[in-house]
Amino acid sequence: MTAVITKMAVTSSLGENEDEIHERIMKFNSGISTIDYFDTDEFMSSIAGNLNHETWEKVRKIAIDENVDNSSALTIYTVNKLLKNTRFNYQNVGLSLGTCNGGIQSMSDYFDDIDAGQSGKDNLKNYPLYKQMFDLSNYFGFEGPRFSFNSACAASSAAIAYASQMIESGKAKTVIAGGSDPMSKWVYAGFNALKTFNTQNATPYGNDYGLNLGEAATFFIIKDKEEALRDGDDILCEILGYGFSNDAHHPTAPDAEGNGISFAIREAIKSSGLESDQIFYINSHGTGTKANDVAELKGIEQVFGKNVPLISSLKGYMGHNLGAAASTELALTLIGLKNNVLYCNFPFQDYREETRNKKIFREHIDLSNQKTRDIIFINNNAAFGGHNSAVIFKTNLDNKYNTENSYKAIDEKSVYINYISESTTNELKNVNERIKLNPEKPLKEFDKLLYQRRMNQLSQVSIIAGISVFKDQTIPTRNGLIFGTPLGSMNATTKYSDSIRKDGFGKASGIYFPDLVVNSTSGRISRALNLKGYSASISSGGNEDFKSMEIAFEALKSNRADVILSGSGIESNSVTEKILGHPVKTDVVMIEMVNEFKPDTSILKVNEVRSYQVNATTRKIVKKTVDNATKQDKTKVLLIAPNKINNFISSKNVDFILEDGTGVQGIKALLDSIAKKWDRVLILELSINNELTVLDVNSLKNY
Amino acid sequence: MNRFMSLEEIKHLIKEEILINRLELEDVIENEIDDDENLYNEEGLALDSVEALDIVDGISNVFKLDVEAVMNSGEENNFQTVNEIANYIYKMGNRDAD
Repeated sequence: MTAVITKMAVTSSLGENEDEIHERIMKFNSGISTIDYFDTDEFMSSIAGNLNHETWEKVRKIAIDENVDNSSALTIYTVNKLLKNTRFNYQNVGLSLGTCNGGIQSMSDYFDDIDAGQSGKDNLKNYPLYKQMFDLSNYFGFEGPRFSFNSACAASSAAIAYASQMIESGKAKTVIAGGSDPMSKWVYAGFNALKTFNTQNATPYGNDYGLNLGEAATFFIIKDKEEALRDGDDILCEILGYGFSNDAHHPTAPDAEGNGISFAIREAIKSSGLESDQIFYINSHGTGTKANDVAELKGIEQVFGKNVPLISSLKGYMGHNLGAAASTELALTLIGLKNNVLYCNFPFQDYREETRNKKIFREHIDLSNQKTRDIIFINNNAAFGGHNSAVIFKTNLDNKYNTENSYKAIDEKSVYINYISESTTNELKNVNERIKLNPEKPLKEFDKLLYQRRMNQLSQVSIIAGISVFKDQTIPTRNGLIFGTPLGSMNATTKYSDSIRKDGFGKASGIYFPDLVVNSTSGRISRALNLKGYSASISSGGNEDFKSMEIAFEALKSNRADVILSGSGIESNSVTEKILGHPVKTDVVMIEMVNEFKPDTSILKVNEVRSYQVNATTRKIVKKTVDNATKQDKTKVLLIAPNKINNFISSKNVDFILEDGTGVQGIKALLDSIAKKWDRVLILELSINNELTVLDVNSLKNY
Repeated sequence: MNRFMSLEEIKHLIKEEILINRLELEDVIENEIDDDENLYNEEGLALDSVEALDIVDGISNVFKLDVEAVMNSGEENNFQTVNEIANYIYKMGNRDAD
């Protein structure tokens, strides 16, 4: 199946109306303005791409009325516009969301409450990044599967790409995908500490470097092309393919040669079945910083050689919208194409020396007389944590779409599990062995070379768990990592917030800021284990291990990687314990998944990993899955669920485990089940938020 | 006006307060940091660009001096060794103390 985008809604500093946005870009009238809603005296810059006051008041009203964070409110506000004049059954709608900082304002408010001697509990519950997908589905009644990507500045790109995967695999009929990030003083302070700002309107590729932050939310309706044609939808573009990668290089700086970027673009082109010379345009990440623009161009040149496609960055018009950057930039490109225009870079005096290339164009391009009416373009994004994402789209300028090439011939592969591990700070556990660790400095004693200063506990333990399962390194570049974590390293988050609370926003800690983004752990694991292939970081609020496995399973099945480490982890921290309501120890699970059977090492075959949203009242899907499975011979069924569901499962054949919100219980149960030598194991992991992922595996011991 | 600080005192504070404590250089003791070693070399402390920026904040905290304009222009770093940083602080501090 081919996924298409049928509708979009934008809330940005350039405005909300497509005609207004088009007019402003044509006149180079940027959305960058002075910040007047927090004090910027302590910062090197005072400007950003700000939403106008009227819009912001409407967003705030939703936040107050619904008791949700501003980020969720901005998402709800934007999706409300998206759903106008649409008619479809919300029950079947899946979500694929991206955010960089999610409810960070609520976290900031929580610390204000604490400092004022209050509990702050109401604010704290709105912090977690996964909360956005629950707030959104609660508000509108969406009942399809949900995913929340937190790969920082590439998050909404990952979300859009994965939405196409959900359509192609048939797991959702309609997906709402995109990203949302309102401005946050905490985040502004972090970029200030890293000295990345331009004090004037940013000019990517220009000789005056530095970036402007921005705030935005942009969402799309994505569905199967045949269905869209049948329903008579307007089609804005087809999603032809995508590629994910990780730089495995540095928490904030890109690989200077652009190796991660070129890898993602190459994978995207390969998955589209295209040749590189068919790419007409690249909507680049182009932040305007010294490090990004040069490295990104080098990465692009690695793929296209001297014949690079047309390139422009749209960040000069509205700032860097972080988790909403990719989705908003895509929307702008689509608005341009609706008007037969490719938008150029924001005007600059002269090229930066290293990016002096005419293909980085400086005047809007009129496509009215363009002979080739199919415009194939790449949306390219990169992020802290080293995550890169490139997605390829095709827009027909005459709105001509047909069912031709609707079905991609994908050689579906089988997926196997070779190794499973669990690690705490005290002990590493594999299928066959247990290794004691030094809880004071686990990684430093386990593998000194992989330890880096100030490395948080979650990253240390994750790397240990990762090393113990990563044993198939035959084709080093197509090794990937999918990592889930409900909250990331809360110890790093706390250290960063302490620096602000102690010394003020102007002295925010630049060395702890990089770990404020939840995907930083994933980046650190990728770097330690040199995992440069398919890469994503997610949160889901209690079943991160299986959700990550599902993404890895789909990627391996469709041959987007050869080896994927998939895992999840949680870090011991008092704020985490407050959110989950019970003591938490640092705990990480990791498995190695492959798509070639290895007689000596493959221990399980994965039949399916699939997420559902469970109806809180009927819990039909849980009951149905359990009933079906318990009828089968030699199948062990394990149910991980909140206490309240226990009584409704009557069968003696089902083992019950109390769900605790850590997101690591599914793989722990899988690891324990190996010793029992079942032929087939079915594990249902249901979170308190009615998020269910079912894992179905067969033992290979008889092969 | 009071005397600012001696060069030795400045070097001690850079190593102990800024490098070891602030950047949390575990297992490094003051004597091991050579006054002339390049702080960014792989063989030495191998500090990165983010840590370089943090040193500027550290200097501002410990010495109450703003060295940002001189020490960092964008992502480039003008001082590579403890000696270079200390000499500059010494000059700046004594100029302000006059």
